[in-house]
Amino acid sequence: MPEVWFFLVAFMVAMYFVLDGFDLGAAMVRPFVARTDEERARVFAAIGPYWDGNEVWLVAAGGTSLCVFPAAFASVLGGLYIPFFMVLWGLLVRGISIEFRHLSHDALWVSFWDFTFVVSGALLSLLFGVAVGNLLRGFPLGDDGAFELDLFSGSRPAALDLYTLLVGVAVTLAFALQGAAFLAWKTDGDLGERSARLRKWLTVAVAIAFVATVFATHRVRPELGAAFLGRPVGWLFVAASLAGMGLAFRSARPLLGFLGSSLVILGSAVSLAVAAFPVLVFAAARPEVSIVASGETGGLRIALSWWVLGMALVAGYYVTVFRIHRGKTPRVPQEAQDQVVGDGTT
Amino acid sequence: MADALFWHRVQFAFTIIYHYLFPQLTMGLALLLVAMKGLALYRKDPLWADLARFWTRIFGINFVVGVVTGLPMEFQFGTNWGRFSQVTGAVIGHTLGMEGVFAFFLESALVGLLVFGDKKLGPRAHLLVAALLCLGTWMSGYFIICANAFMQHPVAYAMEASGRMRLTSFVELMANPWALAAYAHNMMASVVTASFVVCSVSALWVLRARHLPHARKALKLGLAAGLVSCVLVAFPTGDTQAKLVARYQPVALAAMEGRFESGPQAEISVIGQPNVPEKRLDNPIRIPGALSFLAYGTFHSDVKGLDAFPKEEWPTNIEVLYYAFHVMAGLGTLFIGLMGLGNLLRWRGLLERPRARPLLWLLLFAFPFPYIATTAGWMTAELGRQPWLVFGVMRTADGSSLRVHAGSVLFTLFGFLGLYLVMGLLFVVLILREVGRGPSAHGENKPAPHDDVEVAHA
Repeated sequence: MPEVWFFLVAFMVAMYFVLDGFDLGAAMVRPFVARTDEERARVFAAIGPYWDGNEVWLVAAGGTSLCVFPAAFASVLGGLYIPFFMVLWGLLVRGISIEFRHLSHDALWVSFWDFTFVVSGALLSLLFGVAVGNLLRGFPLGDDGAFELDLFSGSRPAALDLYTLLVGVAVTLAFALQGAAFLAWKTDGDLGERSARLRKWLTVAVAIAFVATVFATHRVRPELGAAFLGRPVGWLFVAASLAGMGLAFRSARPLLGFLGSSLVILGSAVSLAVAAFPVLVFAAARPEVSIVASGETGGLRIALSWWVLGMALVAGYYVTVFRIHRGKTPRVPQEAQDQVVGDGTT
Repeated sequence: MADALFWHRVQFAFTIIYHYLFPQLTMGLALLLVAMKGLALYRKDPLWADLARFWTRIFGINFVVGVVTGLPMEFQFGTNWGRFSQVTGAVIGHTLGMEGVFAFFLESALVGLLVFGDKKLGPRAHLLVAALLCLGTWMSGYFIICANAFMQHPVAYAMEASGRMRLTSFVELMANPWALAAYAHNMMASVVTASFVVCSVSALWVLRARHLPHARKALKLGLAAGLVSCVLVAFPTGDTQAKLVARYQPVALAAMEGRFESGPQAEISVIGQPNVPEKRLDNPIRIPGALSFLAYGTFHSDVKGLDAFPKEEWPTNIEVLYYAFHVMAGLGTLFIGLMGLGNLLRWRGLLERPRARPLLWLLLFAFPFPYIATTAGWMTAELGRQPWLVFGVMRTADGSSLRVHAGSVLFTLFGFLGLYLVMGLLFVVLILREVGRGPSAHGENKPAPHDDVEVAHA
């Protein structure tokens, strides 16, 4: 049962990366693809119906981890204390940027939230990647299952160092790709075309960054690669990720491009989980104190029953929301914005 | 170490008190929105439809702030309360996990449709969206109260040799008697908050003689819901809760009342200052026998005072606990009076007479007080639980993260103070702006350009 949960939690995190990845990515690519006020507003309109639900994957993954792997939950969050609060603050700023921006059409108001939206999106993407890098490299775990880690340090491994920043950049690029692919799918006109072009180039960048990450990871934790090679099922997910890159690079159909880009993230995340299994929190210096997936079967089985029911409902919500908002995002009428400004001041 | 514990507690208290200012309105207003939309649909009344649209905009802004301030709560269990998470995670994790999976996904899917989907969905589907969203927010409330109830009155667990808890019965965890009582009490209190907010805005409109047809209707709903919920908060829900405290946390009850000596015919002190070093209540005004009645249903029952308990089991901050309880109970009593009077005047058709203006002013300025009362209520529950993190099982001092020092916690606390200050100011500005626009800004007679923009956003 703990083995099953290892992959279910990995799945939830991967889904968070796939889904919120396109919101964060849309924020990052927005300066490159949206040039007019209307296009900028349309980027927000495109992710508007989805971002909140996408963010719930992180909350749900957190609550579920607390339930099934409490020791790992406490260890990682306590050890990465300050970086984690940066993530929470970034999410806070991102959320209000999206939801406050359209409440007024004052030019200063809008440009302020445009700025915070882009910056928080980039910062969050980088930090999520840094978190992945930290998990891959491992922590100076003590016998009590806790650890302390400097935020940055000249010589020793730290939460932010060359390796984790490299993974951070790779994930940032992958999210940017996901955002471009989403906008290429859900918007049309110049905005959609620029996004489709950017998607192509970002695919190349992601491929390079991923290769660099694989080599760097092999240096900081060689046994991870060895474990992976012994697990052929993981190769399937690598193949899926590669196929996704192919689609994201080549496909002329925007939906396929988006699915391809999603497959890149999902496939890579699951292959990493396969490689790391069953270690949840790797103790870099003393592998024997690593926190591995374990737990009392009765409770895990109960959790599985509500989780399966919940996920079935979630699938239903996603189908419903995507159906209601099917097709391209409608243009945001300029004249309507002007009238509202007048309306607001009366 | 003691330092760090203090700041862990301050940060959690600050972030959760601030957070809960928003969900209480979300949950209460969700119910009132369903009522407004239902009335609009079945009475075919465009005024109710306008009101529903207006309050949906307020709901939307409030909901967002509730979401973003809620995010840190669950994760602070790991960042700041690591040992607590390790010990209890396998039990309370079920409620927190289910909250995400069942409540948050539902809410997030629906809130966009509620705020922007008016035109797209049609009135019937839109009413259904509002009803389901209300269900989602109320479910969310239950899961959280369940987690808290476990800390107040732990059930359905067994301690393993590793020192970690294991869940023994899912049903028992979810049907914790403490959770049922606290939930009913808490949800009625959120309807009180929403009713007062609706009354306040409507009273403003009446006082300024603007949007009068809308204001009259909203005031009628707000006053009616306010009276019913104010009564229900006190009885039976508050009463049941008090009896549970008397039964399971008698030491907390004694501290709440500033009762230092045990004895029969226990009195309630309406006012007075707890003097903990001298172990007495200064300058008390008391109602004899009332505490015995509140706790056990008879006027002569014995009620234990703090002297019946060893000092290390006393709540750590008796003074604040005492005031928190009295502020909550006192305000709750005043609310019933205010809402009773308001309904009486409205029923007699006197509300808009010049002589009734003081009451409208009262309603206008009353809206902060339910927030104060709910905050005080939660402080009563949480301070009464001290020095325990899980009552009788785990002490607060044993629950914090081991390796996070005071300097780190202060750093993040300052971050929250700054962010929440800015966000709170923005929130107030945005709400005042909507209130200033009023319900008819997007009504029938005007074209509604803003709505089109918002549909595009949706």
